[in-house]
Amino acid sequence: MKLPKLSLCVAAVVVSGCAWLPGMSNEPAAVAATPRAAIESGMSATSSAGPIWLAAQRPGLSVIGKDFLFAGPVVINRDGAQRRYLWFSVATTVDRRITGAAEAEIESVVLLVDDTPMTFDLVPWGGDAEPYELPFAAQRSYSARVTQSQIRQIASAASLDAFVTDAEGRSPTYTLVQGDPADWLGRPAG
Amino acid sequence: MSARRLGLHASVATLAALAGVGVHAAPNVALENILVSKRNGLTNIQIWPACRMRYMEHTPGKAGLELRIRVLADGECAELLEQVSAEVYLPSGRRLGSVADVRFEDSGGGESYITLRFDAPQQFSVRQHAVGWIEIYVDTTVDSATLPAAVPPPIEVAPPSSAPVPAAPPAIAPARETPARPSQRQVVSEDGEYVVQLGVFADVSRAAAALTRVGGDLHAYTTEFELNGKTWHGLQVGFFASEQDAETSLGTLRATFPDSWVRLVSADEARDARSSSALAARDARSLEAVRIVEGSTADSAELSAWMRSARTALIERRYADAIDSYTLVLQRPAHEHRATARENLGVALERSGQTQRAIAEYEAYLVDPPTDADARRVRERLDTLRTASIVPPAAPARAAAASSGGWQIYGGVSQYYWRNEQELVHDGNRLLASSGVLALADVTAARSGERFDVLARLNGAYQLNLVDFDDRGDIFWMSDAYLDVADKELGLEARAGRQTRRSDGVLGRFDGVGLRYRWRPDITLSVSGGLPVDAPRFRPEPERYFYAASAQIEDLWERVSINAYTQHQIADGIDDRRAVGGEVRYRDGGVSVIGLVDYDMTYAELNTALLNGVWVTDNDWRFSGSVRFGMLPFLTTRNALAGQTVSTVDELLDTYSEGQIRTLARHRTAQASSLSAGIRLPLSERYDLSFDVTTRQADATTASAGVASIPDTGTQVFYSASLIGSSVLRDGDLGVLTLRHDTTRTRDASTLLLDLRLPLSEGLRVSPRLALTSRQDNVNGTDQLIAAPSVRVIYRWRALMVELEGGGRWSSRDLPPTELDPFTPDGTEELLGGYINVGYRLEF
Repeated sequence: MKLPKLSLCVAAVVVSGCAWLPGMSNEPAAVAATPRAAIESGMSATSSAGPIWLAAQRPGLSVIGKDFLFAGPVVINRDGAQRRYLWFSVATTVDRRITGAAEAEIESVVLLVDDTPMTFDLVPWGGDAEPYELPFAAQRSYSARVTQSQIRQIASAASLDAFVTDAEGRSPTYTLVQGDPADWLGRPAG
Repeated sequence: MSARRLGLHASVATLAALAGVGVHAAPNVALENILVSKRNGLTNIQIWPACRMRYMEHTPGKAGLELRIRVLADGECAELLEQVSAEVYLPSGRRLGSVADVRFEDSGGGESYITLRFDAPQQFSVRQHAVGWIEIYVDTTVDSATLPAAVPPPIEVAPPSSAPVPAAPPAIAPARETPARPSQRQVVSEDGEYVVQLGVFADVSRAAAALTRVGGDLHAYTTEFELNGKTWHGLQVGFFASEQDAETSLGTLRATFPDSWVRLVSADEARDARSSSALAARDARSLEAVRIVEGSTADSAELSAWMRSARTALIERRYADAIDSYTLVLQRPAHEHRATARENLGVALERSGQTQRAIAEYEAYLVDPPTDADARRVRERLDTLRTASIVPPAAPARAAAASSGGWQIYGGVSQYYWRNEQELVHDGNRLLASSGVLALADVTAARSGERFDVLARLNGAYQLNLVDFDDRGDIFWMSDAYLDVADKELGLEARAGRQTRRSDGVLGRFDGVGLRYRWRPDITLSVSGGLPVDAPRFRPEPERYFYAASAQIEDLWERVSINAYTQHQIADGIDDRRAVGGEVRYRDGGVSVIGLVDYDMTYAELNTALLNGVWVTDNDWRFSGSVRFGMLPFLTTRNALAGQTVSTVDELLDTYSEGQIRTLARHRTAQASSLSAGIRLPLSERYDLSFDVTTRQADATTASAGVASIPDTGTQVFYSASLIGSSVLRDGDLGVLTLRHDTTRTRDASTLLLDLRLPLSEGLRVSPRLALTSRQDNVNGTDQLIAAPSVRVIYRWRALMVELEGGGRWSSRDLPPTELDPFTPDGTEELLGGYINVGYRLEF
């Protein structure tokens, strides 16, 4: 399966700068993620502010590369029925080919909302299209049903971290690096 | 001017198929059978081609409102399909996979499309078994609302007028759709149950203390999960049917639990919470009660002892004891035996006849199975239990009947009229090629009991010919007529009557009996025997019969499945076919490989050896390849009848010895091979591009017994490139532009094909199509141009579908000197033809 890795690498090089290129930052802050217009008929993103970005350092694999977790609410309207989802997507700027480390599958995501864990039952994101445009290629995307009160709880949190547990049982901490979930409610950040 | 010379094909098959019977096989139909079943949310659709077709690719890759499968017909099959332009099937049980209909369309040159249209977007996968059928899995557990729609849903919902429209585009990237804001939206249809999450605690004593503050009649229960080696304890109350109800309670509970929120819980969690250990938490508002629920101090030695006891009871068929012991084990959370206990509790309940409870346990197991293999095994068991629970969602009365052990009866009736005419332009000589009325009916009756499931099926048709020259007259045929009984306790299934089967090396339809026994979860044994039926309108010949057996092992190393079979067929007292064979399937991620071998021991010949591989990369590039060697047609002793004036082997034995007949059979059969490769790449979200090349070759047959040799075909090469776009002209449409070039010894042909499907409104769809072909006859050096426009209009209203299709065909051909006649003075034959099909199908 070389093509996906290759395309991921190419995307990373083009958009965010590959982690191993000297003198180049891989910080993605310069390129904002935006909601994708009209994913499919009847599907729309809930927020014009875009997803939040959380990142985990990978000092053992890369000096400046990070693993990213994107999260954003999505309301899907189909046949008159609306459902709310929290969309998650994982991506990385760590070049694992150099280290030989494997990219593990994601088992679960737990948001730490003001230090209180909020668990989500993840399922693979069903659509071919992501609900938000991202600055570089996502590895995998997931969704979880969510309620209004959970969105409110997340949006009003003073602190927000995430644990992303992979198939090997590791749960590194992801911290918020860009975006403000307060925008999910349509309010100005802060 | 003969009909043969006019060269336009009558569309009997087209109309037969348009009649849309659930599972039927008319003369010259392309798809012989479509079988639909459902296992634990995964709907399996088997499409059985009437002749050998090879799956090439499908689009979209994983999900959509429409699934389009490109197939390539081999050899004789391609010739057969030239008589078939389009077919529509409405297989019974299709609602199990939200399938609206199944369509077959021939594009010429052996290339065809099978299209499944869904009622709502579905996630699916497609593969082909080497023995011939194409298998589609539709995962109905995926929320269709999250899936992309290659074609939009029939009901479009306008955004609420209250939704704000930004006055100016956002600074970064404008969204075409107005963002919806949760506070301004009314949730119309949420499923599942809701709870108020009162808190999540690292310290169990805090959870216990919080539990004591829960008042009223709410159902309180605790959950726990581990995060980085630390155990967290969740406390929640429920259950609420809607999010609004939960929000109302949340408003009250927040006074006590300020950080609470509403969440949707899985059916498994709700069920577990309502039973067993969770009840303890509800009734005993004390720290001790919580500690019992948490059960973290369960003694592992004690658990092991209970497991051994339960296992012994299960083996000794003391199911009540086994149920008690496994239930006891499951009341202790978070230990290594939970999965095994859950599965075996399901087995004990199943064997003791407690079907619904067993289903509940299997469902709970599948929420978090230890491995994929475990999941598959338990799904198989669940499927056995749910066989008769498969009920079309649109039939609540039927569902009620099924759940109460009553009979479900469903099916449909349809009628179609067709007419097909052609004329020579320069002299106005008109010919009615075919015309008739087709009436079809299919009915299925099913009943599910605690131990036995029963299913009876009838599927037949009557074709009234309205032309005089068709000496076949009216035709009646019966595709299926069988009774199926499954003993869920023994894992045994028996089917008797007219049926179709290929798993035992059986070549298709027969009148007889088939038995399947699931010896172990991953091993199935099968036997069958009966009288082969060459076509559904034929009666079987008592002098020709077969018996067969097979064994199938699934999920070897979680990636490999193996099927081995032996089959013996006798015609008029001598061996018609004595075959052994097998199929190996390998599947790992995006790689799928199928190998098949069928060897005839009587003739010591390899009938078929096939290897088919597909690799789909993570970014949806698709590479496929296939290679096949074997006999054309399948080598059987009855091949000796080809070209003879007699119709049975017994009559042939009056003239030839058995050995001579076998020699004749060899002489009528050619060695053939084919090789193909393809690639499909997504250009963007809306466009896909695909390229394919296929070569075919068949050796010459040997002249003997007054039958001439069929010359070798030479190497035939077929190229094809397609651009597939969705939502090009309007949301939800589908357009396919195909350029194809065929090179054979007798002709070179290039075709440009444009195929559109336009949804105009709810239930109304229009599909225009245009094919332009330039053909060069390599035998006599003449050229021919063909233009064939057509349009199909389909309107669906509830259980009624009305369809109208009309098309024309114009062709111009330079006649070779040998065909010049006074009626074509300029040496150019210009033909004009047209057809119309109109009909309906009503389901019940």
